[in-house]
Order: sequence, then C-alpha cells, then structure tokens
Amino acid sequence: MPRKVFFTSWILLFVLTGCWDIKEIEDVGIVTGMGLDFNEETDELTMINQYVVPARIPTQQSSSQHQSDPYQNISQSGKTFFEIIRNNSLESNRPPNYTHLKSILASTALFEKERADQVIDLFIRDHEFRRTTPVYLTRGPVLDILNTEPAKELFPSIQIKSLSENFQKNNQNPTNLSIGDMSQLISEDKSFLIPGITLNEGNIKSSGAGIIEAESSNYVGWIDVEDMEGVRYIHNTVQGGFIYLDEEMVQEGPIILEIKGSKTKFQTKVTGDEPEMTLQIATSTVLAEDWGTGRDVYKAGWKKEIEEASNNVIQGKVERVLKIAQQEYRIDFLDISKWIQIHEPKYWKEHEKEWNEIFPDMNFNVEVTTEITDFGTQNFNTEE
Amino acid sequence: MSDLKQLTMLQLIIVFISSMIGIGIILMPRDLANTVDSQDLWLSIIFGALAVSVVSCIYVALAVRYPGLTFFEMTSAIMGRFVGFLFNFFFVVYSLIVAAYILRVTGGIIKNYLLDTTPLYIVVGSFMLVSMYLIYNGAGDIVRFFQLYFPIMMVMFIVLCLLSIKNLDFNNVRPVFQNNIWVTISGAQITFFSFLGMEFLLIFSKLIKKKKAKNLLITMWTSIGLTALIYVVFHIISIGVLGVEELKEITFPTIEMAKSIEFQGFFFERFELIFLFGWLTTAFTSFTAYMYTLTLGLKNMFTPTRWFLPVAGILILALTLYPEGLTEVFHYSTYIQLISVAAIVILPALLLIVSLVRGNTYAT
Repeated sequence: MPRKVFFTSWILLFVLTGCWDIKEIEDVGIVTGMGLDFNEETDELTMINQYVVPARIPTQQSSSQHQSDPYQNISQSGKTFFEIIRNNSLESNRPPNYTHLKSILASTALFEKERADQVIDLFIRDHEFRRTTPVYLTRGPVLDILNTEPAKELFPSIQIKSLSENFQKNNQNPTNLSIGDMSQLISEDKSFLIPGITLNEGNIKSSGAGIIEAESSNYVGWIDVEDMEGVRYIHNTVQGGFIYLDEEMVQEGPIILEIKGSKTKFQTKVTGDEPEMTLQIATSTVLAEDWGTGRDVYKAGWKKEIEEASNNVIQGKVERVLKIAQQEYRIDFLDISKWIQIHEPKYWKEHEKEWNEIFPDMNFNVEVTTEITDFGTQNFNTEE
Repeated sequence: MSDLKQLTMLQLIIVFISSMIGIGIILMPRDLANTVDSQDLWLSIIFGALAVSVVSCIYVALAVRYPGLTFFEMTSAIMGRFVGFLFNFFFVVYSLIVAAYILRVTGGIIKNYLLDTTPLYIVVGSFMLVSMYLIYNGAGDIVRFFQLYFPIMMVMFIVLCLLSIKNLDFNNVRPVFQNNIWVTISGAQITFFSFLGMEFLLIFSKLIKKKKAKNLLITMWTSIGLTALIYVVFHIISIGVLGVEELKEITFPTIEMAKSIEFQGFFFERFELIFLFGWLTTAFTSFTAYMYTLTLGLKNMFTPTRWFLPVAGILILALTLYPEGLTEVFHYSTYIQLISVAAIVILPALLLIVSLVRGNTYAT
C-alpha cells in the first residue's frame, strides 16, 4: 500500500505541474494584419505588423470620449521576413502571435522585385500561419493603408478583409484569394490575380486586381475595377451585382438589372492543333431600377429588347478582359487552361508546355443569355 | 487479464480498421501525388485494396489451419524450431521498425502542430507509456480500447468530410479516368502499405478461435473495403481542396486540408486541432497493435517474462530517436516498405506453402 501511494504521488507530481509556463492572453501580441513592402532606399524588405492594443479597444462605458487607435503598426526592414518578425521584439514587449492574422497586404513594388513564390514561403511553411488568410495587393505604400483609420471596423486590416465579403453584392469586387489558394496556383504554374486595394480620399477601397505572371512569379500589370466584372464571369464566381443599360442601348432608359445568379459553362473544341473555346454565360436577373416611363411590364414582349442589350453588355465585358489577357499581357491569368485540361486532357498533356504560345492566339466565342424573371412590386407607366 | 475471450465479427472489423488507419491517411496523399501525378490517384487506393484482399486470403488460410495459434507459434509448428526462430526474429524486427516509424511520424506531427517547444523524447515517451499501460493487460483490453475509441474516430472523419465540403472544388478532381491506367495501377505499390494491419489476424488469434474461413474472409474484406472507402473519400477531398500539384509539396497534406477549414466566429474556427486529437487516437491504435506484436514476439522467442514490455519500449524509443529529422524518416520509409513486403507477404506465403506441402495442421 505505501508503495502504491508513493508511486501515485510521484506520478501526480509530473501530471499536476500544470501551467508553469502559462502565457496570459493579454500578454500575447496578437497580430491582425501584415503588410509586406519593398524599401527602395535600403534595397531591403519591409514588413509591417499590426498589433492589437487591447487596452485601447473602446468598451461600451468609455465609448463617448475619443480614444486613440486600438492598434499599433510596427514597420521594420530587413533581409528576410523571419528576421524582421524576430526583430519586432526589439520594439514590442509582446511576442507576435499570427494565429489570428486576418489579412496580408503586399505592395506591387515588392512583387516587382521579388518572386511571389519566394515571398510567401514563410507563410506557408510556418504552422502558425493559416492557409485561409487572404492576400491583397496595393500599388501605393502599404503602411499608408494600414495607418488609415477605418470607418466601421476597429482595425484597417479587418476592414480590408471585410470589403471582400461584398463580392456577392457587387461584381466589381474581386473574390478572396487566400494564401493557400495562392500557393496552389503557384505550384500549378499558373498566372493569377491578387485582389487590389487602394486609398481613395482617406478611405480604403477595393479596386481591381494585380496580375502575377507564372514564369517570373512577378507582378506584371493591373486589372482595373471596371474590368473585374468580366473576370468574375470568366471565373464563374458571379453571384450578384448589377447590369447597367443606358439610353443608347435601350429605348427607354437607363435601366439597372439586378443579377440573381449566373453560370458560365466552358465548351472546348480542338480542330487539328487549334483549341477553341465557347463561353456560355447564363444570367438570371430582375428589373431593379427603371428610369424609362413608358414600359408596360404586364404586356408580353417588353423583356426582349432589354435582354438583348444586356447580352451585348456582358459579352463586351468578357471579350474585353479576354482581349487584355490575350493581346496586352499575352498570359493566361484567367485560369482558362483548367478547362482545356478538364475537357481536352489528351491535347493538354501534349501541349501543356506550349500553353503560353497557344493561349494568345486562341479563338473564343462568348454566348450570353440573360433572362429577366421578375420586375418588382410596382411599375410606373405614365405614358398612357 | 481481460475477460474478453472471443472476438465477434464486429470487434474484429474494428481491430482491423483501427490498426490499418494510422499515419497512412496523413502521409499517403503526398507520396501518391508524386507517383501517380494525376487527378485519378484515388483509383490507386482501390487497386491497392484489391491487392491486399488477395494477400488476406493467405492469412485466413493460415488462421483456419492453425486456429488459436499466433504467428510466432505457427512458425515453429510449421517450419521447425530453428527456421521458426528466424521467421519470428524477422517478424519482430518488422514490428519494431513499423512501430518506431509510426511513433516518429506521430511525434513529428505533434511537435509541428501541437507541442512546439516540448522535446521530442518527452512527446514520444509519454505517447509510448500510455500504450504500454494498455498492453500490460493483454490483447483483450487492447480490443476493448479500440472498440471504445472507434466511434470517436469515425465521427471525427465524418465531421472533417462535412466541414470540407465548403472548400471542395470539384474542378480540381476533374478530369476523371484520363490518366494512363498502368501509372495508376503502379500507385498501388504505395497504397498497399497503408493497409498494413491486416496481419493482426495472426497476432490476435488467441481471441479468434472458433471462426469459419468464410466468416473470416468476409470480416477481412469488409474492413479492407471500409478502410479503402475512408481513404478514397479523404483523397478526393484532399485533391478537391488543395489540388494535385499542391499535394506533392505539403508535408502533412491531410492536416493542411483540415487547416483550410474556417468558419468565421463559429466553434470550429480552428478545426484542425480537434481533428488532430481524433487522428492521434488512430495513430495510437496502430502503434499499440505493433508494440503488442513486438512484445508478443519477444515473449515467444525467449523465456516469457514481464520484462519484455519495457524492453520493447526501450527498443522502440531508441529506434524512434535515431533519425535526425523527418527527412531521414521519410527516406527510410522505402526500406520499411521492402521489409514489410517480406514480413507480411513472403513469410506467411512460405508458411502456407510449406504447411500445404507437409499437409500438417494444428488440428491433427
């Protein structure tokens, strides 16, 4: 019996030591956002860590008086990112913790100098970073954006991420690209788009996307916010948004159609050695706003003109983006190659290597069918 | 000693599935993606399962001819004492190596994802102590433990599958059936080894006395089929979430897949931790089975004493801590596969052939 007691207490000694290296959550430097930039003067990398300052987060009691920002941006330069992270402890007493990282914002300047696959290495290698953290690109200085006081959120880094959650409401918002997706696209040797962020009169604004080219893994160009719609149709990520039809396109106008859903189908054909692709876009819309006065929605036939105009608008947008990809940049950042791979696996296996030469001369047909399913609760018809 | 004297069919299936699913489910996607290099890689699992089903017939034949005898007792009954000793020695070496391999990879995963700063020997040592405690009471308790944790494991897998659906991009899995079929079949040489564990039919035989050949075959094929199903589902999800090219580069693909699950503000915002706890049980069950085999083998080869359990522990621990890093561990896996083929295919096949030629069974 005494032996058993002795043995048990001896085991307990090890098991119940519990929290000898406890870390209070208040003492952990939680980083919500990260900025990656290139310092032209010193020719070094710059990293900005946005730390949460828990004491300055406004509570309900103290919300009346104005407080300073609840975050602290520490910007440092160095040769590698890991080195910068560790050098952060020279300035901040709290060790950084990246498990709650909400967004990574990089500058085009960085991707012009450094290869994207090298830049993201640390973020996919270290287990503390999550694959789901979204990545954004900006053409201006990163620090300016991370220093902007956001309007509705507490932290600029969270504001950036929240913007992309609007992608169901507006077609011009790029969909999120997580660092895991980015790594996947890089390992598949594909060119791709990183959602863009700009500063517009002191506000953070989602605007277009930056192109990363596969071979050089560098930033090569920017897709403007107007062209994002076409990209979304080709990526088949359209869930909402609107179609604007002005008076030149429809007799009574302008008209806004709200998109309720859209689906893009890709059909490929290989004749000889020439691949050809047909994009069939089927969009379902409702009449959202009508500035024309003479429309009688209770009479059959009013839709036809509008649907045709809408077809032309969407077709124009998609073709424009395809033209940018084929003629201006001559690279496939729209993931067209995936559909060739799926539908023409034999052709793809033979020509995988030459895709960069094939893509710019490929033939695309865009077929759009818009249907209007609804017109709302009331309709003015004053010209009777 | 446990009161468990005779396993039911369901218990046997649980033993097989628990010991088959282990580190394979974490590591296989990468090896398979590198070998097959196509969206069709999940087909290789089915081919692997078919190969294993054929091999399992050897075990059933042996188990029926020598009911109640473990592999270690069978060898001397069939081959004579000296050759039998050699066979036993080889099988013991095989269990030792596989146990150490499982333990080291598990330790690596725990260190990578859970206990960052804990020294490896503590992680590995405590894992093994728990296993030793379980083995101390014999096979019956091991089976009871497997039975107890089996539902937890399954629930964890199902939950992971359900939560991954949101991230699943079926275009990553397409095109289907377009790869060169021979390349896909050659992937079976990798998938075969993730079904290691069916040899325990010859180890737990003290608990499988009264079984007909037909029942045993059905049991084994059901467990192989269910395991293959779990593997196939996991691989399709892994490809769908991460893509084949990415699978080639990720150290622990299945965990990364669990890591890409995120439900903002939901209880499962970080699901991979919960998944890891569930998965650790599966690694623990396969490890325990191999360590039990090792202890049993040692007891059969020499004068049986209680001290063989700690001896087995020390051997495993030494071998586990021998490789410097995971690179070496993965490098050894090729040799481990060769040893496995020798131990679980060639040895039992030889036994069966000699037994058929000599025409002796335990019953006579």
